[in-house]
Amino acid sequence: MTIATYLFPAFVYASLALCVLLSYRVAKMVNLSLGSLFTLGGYLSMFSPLASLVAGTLIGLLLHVCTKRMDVGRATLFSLGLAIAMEEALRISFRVEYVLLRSEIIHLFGSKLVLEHFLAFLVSAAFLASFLAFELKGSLGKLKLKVVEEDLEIAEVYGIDTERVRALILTVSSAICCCLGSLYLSGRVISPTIGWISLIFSCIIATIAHAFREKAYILVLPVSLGLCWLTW
Amino acid sequence: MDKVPSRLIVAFAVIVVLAVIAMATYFVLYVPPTPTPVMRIGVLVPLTGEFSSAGVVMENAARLAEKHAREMGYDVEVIIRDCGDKPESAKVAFLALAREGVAAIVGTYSSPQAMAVADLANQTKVVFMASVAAADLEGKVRAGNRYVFRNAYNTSYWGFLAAEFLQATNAKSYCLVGYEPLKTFNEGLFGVVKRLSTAELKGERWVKSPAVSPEDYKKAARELAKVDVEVIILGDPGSGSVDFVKEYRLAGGKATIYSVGGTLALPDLLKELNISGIAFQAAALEQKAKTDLTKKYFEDYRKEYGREANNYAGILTYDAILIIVQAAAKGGDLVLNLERGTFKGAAGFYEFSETHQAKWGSDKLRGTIGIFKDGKIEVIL
Repeated sequence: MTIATYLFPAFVYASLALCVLLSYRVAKMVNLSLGSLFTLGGYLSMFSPLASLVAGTLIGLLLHVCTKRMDVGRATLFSLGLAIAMEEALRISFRVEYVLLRSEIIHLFGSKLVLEHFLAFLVSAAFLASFLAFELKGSLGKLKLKVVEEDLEIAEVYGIDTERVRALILTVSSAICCCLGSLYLSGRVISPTIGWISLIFSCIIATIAHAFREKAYILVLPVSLGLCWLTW
Repeated sequence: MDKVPSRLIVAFAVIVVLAVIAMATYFVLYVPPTPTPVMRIGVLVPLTGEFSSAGVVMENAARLAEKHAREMGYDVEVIIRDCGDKPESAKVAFLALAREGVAAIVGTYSSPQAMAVADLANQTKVVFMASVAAADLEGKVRAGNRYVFRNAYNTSYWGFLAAEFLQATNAKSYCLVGYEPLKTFNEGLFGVVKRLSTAELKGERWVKSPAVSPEDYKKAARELAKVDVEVIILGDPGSGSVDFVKEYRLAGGKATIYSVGGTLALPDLLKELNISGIAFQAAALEQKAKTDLTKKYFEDYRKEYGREANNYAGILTYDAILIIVQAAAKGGDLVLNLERGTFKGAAGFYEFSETHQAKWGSDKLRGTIGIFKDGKIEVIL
């Protein structure tokens, strides 16, 4: 039981940290809207579980379109503006004393678990595993990603559609964050600013992993496990 | 043509002269009736920022107080300003209200905001009534600031209520769970509990700030679930308290959880959570009327806003406005009136101490403790 309650957050934060890393290294921005997307997912889970995926994808696409001609600083600032806009929209839309999200309790291996947290763990594990497989496989896709990370101009010289790669990274990372928020915030009293806490923690994981340069993506999960263990 | 009789002309002239004199007298001596001046009260409410959910209930309660004060015959206008969640934003809002010429200002949510605004009250000579924050405002009064009052609890009273709960339930043991971002408040509260309670203290655990360790409440809950203890006193009034309670019960913890109030004292939320054994303090509960305004507050709040009324931040903001109204209506120096008078609110009858703190714990003004059990709230004290 304790292992489950330790592993679930570690996997969720590792996924969020991977989204932060990808946005920084490939899309060339510190995507500060990921925390608000996480929160948005929580609010949208009241209506439909799929709504968070759709909303995350659309907002990721919007972010790409609006920031594709911007440098790192401006794009980061834009993502902060987007985060604040989402927060304010939630604040205006949900002017109530509290919002308590529902959750289901399941019995697994003789322990009580929150179903939605278990699902968040599965989604995170699938996301991390598929990316790890992509990284370790050494495919052409991986090579393209590396070139885009290193230098956009050189990538374009080699005929890589950098805009497409950037759009893909921003939409996937936004959709994942929104989806994880819709699951992992279940059972909690939420507010429009609740996602910042998760974003800060994920940024710490991403920063530590980023120090390992080439191995950053692979080390996101071990760093997250280590940090969760340390702060527990 | 006949000549007009001279007597008639004289009479006419006399009438005209008299009329002119009468009109002149009227215009010189007449003083138009001045309308009764509208009493304007400013309310600082966190409509944006971290405490905006509390701002919703404070705003609703302030509007309700305005309505009820008018029904009582007072000509009152409540002016609400957003004080955000920072001391700076509260200061800006306070000064804006002071410039509008309000009789007094009530509200703010957080302690740093209340402390910042208290200094401005002294500078602008506008009375400030803290209706929620537990900061050391009494120190400000001792230092010579006459313009700051508080109708909410001070830290000692929070601790006194928790100790009363332990005594009333004959609890033999308890644990304390503090929340590090509110360390000053929690330490003060725990200090009073330790001093007053004869029950055995089985442990003290501090939950880290979520910004440092977002999952620490889970660890604390699971650790405490293993401790054989009767009562857990929870110092976090925010949404983290809900996370703690859920995790604690999920881990098999059986102790009664006594919350300092806030989120875990909301009747609607308790019903939605449906977890038995959650005790909480409230300034007043509908089940235990303190004055004729108690029932009116809870019933009208439900009618106006379609939700159960808030029993701390909301009701104390409501009472703060009514206190100011009653004191200002006496005329003369508002500070003296507040210092010497007794004022009716929904939570009881307020009088202020030498340090301008409402005398909570007196016969006329006592906090209430309720417990959520088997789907309903029972009043313990």
